[in-house]
Amino acid sequence: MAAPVVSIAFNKTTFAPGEQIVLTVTHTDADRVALVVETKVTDSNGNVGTVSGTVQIDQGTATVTSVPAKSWVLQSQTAGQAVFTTTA
Amino acid sequence: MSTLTVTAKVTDKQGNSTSKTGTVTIDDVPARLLVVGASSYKPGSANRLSSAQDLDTQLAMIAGVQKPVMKFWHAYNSSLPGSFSSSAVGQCIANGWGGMLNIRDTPGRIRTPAGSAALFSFLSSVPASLPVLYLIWAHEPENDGMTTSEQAVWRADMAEFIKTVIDFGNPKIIPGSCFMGDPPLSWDLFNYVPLLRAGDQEKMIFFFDAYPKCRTGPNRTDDPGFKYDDVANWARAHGFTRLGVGESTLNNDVNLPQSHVDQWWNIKLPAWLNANPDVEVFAVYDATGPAAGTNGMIDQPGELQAVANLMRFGV
Repeated sequence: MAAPVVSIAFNKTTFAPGEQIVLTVTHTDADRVALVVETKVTDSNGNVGTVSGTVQIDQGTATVTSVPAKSWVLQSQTAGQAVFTTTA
Repeated sequence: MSTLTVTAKVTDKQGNSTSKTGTVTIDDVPARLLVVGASSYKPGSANRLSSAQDLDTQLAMIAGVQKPVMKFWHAYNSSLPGSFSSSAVGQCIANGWGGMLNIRDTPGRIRTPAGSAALFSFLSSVPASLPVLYLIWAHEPENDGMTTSEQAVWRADMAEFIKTVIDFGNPKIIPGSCFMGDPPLSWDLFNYVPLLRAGDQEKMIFFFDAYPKCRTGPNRTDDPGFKYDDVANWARAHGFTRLGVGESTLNNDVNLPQSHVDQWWNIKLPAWLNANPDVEVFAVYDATGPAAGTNGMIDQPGELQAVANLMRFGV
């Protein structure tokens, strides 16, 4: 039942009007687990087929707001990091 | 400057969330608002600002001004060489400010070996730490009473001065000419332009006093700003790409009534600047003051507020 731990970083601190602001949101969560599930199928001849996939347990979703309001666009996202941009 | 406050919120699948807030600064001060400064060091003026501390104190009186300003001393030097390497530049350096030197020369002097050497020596002495130095060559023909032949010498000096500063090659030192006169009386003086080389105008600034005015003589007017378009259009037509206004906006020489000054600050100048976004603004805070008893200092509440209004206006 842990809450996410969040940190944010900007590409710089001062922007000229029209410049791109890049915000990187990094987050962790004690409950978060990347669960790797592997399924193995064996036929009567002994042939084995394997498939695996990963699911995130307690995945975090990042959103951004600002004052004054701006339109923040999600550029990339991984399990622990989201990158947003807007225009200064 | 304005601040953008950004909050990132991360919510997990259980509904737990954590927010983190940070701020960035948007440097939205228009580039043309270059300087707010004080005239000083003019010989013989008793009530000019005497120190950087004075300027800070008076700037602090402009309530609500949030935009950063580039402070500078508008130093006044009467001649070359002599006082040219004055303490004014020293003040700029000490305070990390920009500088503006208003140069007046005796006709013919700049093209003497001594004058040229003095100018070069001064240019060499400007430290790299000085943010910018505007070297403005000024003259008031109607006040100084130059003869036609003297004006020709003055024009040649002016061109030589500009070319010398440009060729020195320090991009932080920007030469300029100051239009302080009364068009059309001053037009002839500004015929130095044909003496320049192609492209020189783009490396300098054409600076005109906050309102080209008729200080004296038959064309004196109480309508400040009436010649702004004339001067700006003349400069543009002659290849100048950087225009600046400032300095003696509240010119004491004409002793305008306070109501007139207020109208100028609050209505006419902002409107004109708004219509001419290419024009840079210098010294909107002008501490120019005459020796005694006239309205040069921006030290009254209404005047200070007018400056604040002008800055908020976005010039």
